[in-house]
Amino acid sequence: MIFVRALAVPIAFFTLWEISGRLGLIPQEALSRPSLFLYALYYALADGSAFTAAAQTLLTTFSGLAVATVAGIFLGVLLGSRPILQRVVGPSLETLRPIPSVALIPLALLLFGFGIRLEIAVIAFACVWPVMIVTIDAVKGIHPRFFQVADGLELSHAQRLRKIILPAAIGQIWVGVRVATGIALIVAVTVEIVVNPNGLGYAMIYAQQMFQVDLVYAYLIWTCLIGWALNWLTGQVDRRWLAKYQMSST
Amino acid sequence: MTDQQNAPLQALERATGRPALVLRHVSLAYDASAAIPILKDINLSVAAGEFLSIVGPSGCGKTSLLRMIAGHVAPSAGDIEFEGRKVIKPARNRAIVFQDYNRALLPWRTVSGNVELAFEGLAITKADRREKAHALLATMGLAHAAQQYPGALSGGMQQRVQIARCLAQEPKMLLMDEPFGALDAMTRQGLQDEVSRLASEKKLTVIFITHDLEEAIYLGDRVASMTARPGEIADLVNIDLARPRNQLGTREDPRFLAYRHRLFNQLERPV
Repeated sequence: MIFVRALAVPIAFFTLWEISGRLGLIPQEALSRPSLFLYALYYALADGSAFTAAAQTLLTTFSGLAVATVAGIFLGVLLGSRPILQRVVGPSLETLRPIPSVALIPLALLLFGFGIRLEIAVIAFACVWPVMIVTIDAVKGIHPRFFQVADGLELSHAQRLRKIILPAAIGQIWVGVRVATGIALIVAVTVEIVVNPNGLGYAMIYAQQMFQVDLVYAYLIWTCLIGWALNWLTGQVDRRWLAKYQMSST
Repeated sequence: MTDQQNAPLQALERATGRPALVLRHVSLAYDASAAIPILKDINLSVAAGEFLSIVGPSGCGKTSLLRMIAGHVAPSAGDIEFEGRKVIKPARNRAIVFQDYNRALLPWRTVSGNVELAFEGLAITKADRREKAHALLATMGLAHAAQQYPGALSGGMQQRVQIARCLAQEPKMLLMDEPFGALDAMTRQGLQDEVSRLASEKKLTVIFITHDLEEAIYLGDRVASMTARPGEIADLVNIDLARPRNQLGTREDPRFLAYRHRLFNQLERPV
């Protein structure tokens, strides 16, 4: 029932759009019509080009996200467990953080040239911050009792990290990774539109330059579906594997 | 310090036999300039296998004392020796049972996993760890809960799990910080008898912190009472009651009542 109610608005919207388009009430050159761009989407899916573009975008999205997650957790644990380090290194990191990641595209272009490495680097830069910040908070928030237990059992540093710190913090860290996943897709598509001739962003800008308005809309819907699927996927990880780590661990 | 100052301590050490734990002139102040330290000049000698209860009003520093013995906090003055070695950091031979069992257990590990944690620093196989943990859980009456998560258990059962993990580290000494303070009376009595039994079976030296005077007498071979601000040992009483003790008989023993009177008056005395 909830699903049906939630669909009422988009169905009404697209129906109105379709009718206005067919009646010639809105200009077709820029606004197209739902029936036309669904048709375009069908063709892009049928000839595999939509899947190729999605695969390219997802590859860079996940690669960038993976780099950001590893780096963010590493920095977060380090800074979260060593307050002195946070005071020394923290301000420098804070000055880097407000740089809009897309502003780094020219620099990344110089460093990596056109291609997948450029895109991954820019995505990683954008995604490392949310992961790092929640990790710092999560590690700082671990109750000292856990560390006293670890001390009493004479656990090594590696064991403390693996058996106490990461499990205690992973529930919160994952929230940062979920936020970063959304950012990663945004940045990936942006970089593809601006410089990297690859993936969904490039497919969209190419369709625009060829005046294939229907295809622009088709790729917009396709990107939206992929973003929604990514979000659903990360939510599933939350529910299935991380529930036990989210029990009061602080 | 002069020999004269040490004389009562040496007499005590002679009286209690081979001491497992010795505290000499131990003081603790978190702020060196504080006018009143938290603990002042604590001298204590605990024999191997002895069950020492420490009772005192809240804020008297008894938990701080336990933390220093465990090695989590360093004394500001004086020194602590366990089995002839100066205590400088926590070690597996001194297990601490915290009052807040819900924080001392790892919520993401099962009951069995929490006990196995104590074996994970050792060079034994996973199968052996599991087997040893289950044997321990069985003796604590927790075999049926081995695969459950601590959050699903009652307070009393969670505290049993924590005690099982402490026993798993095969300590010489068990340090208990008001372990039953958060439990209901019935559960508490059951656990008192269980700890008593385990301590004598495994020949553990136990230091048991409580604010419950009757619990202190019921469990202890000796009871130390403390005063607050600064925390000092006010009285040290040998408890001459037969073991195994009994929740009804022991508590009705005239000597039990006499100990209670003596310590009660001392604890109630205005500072």
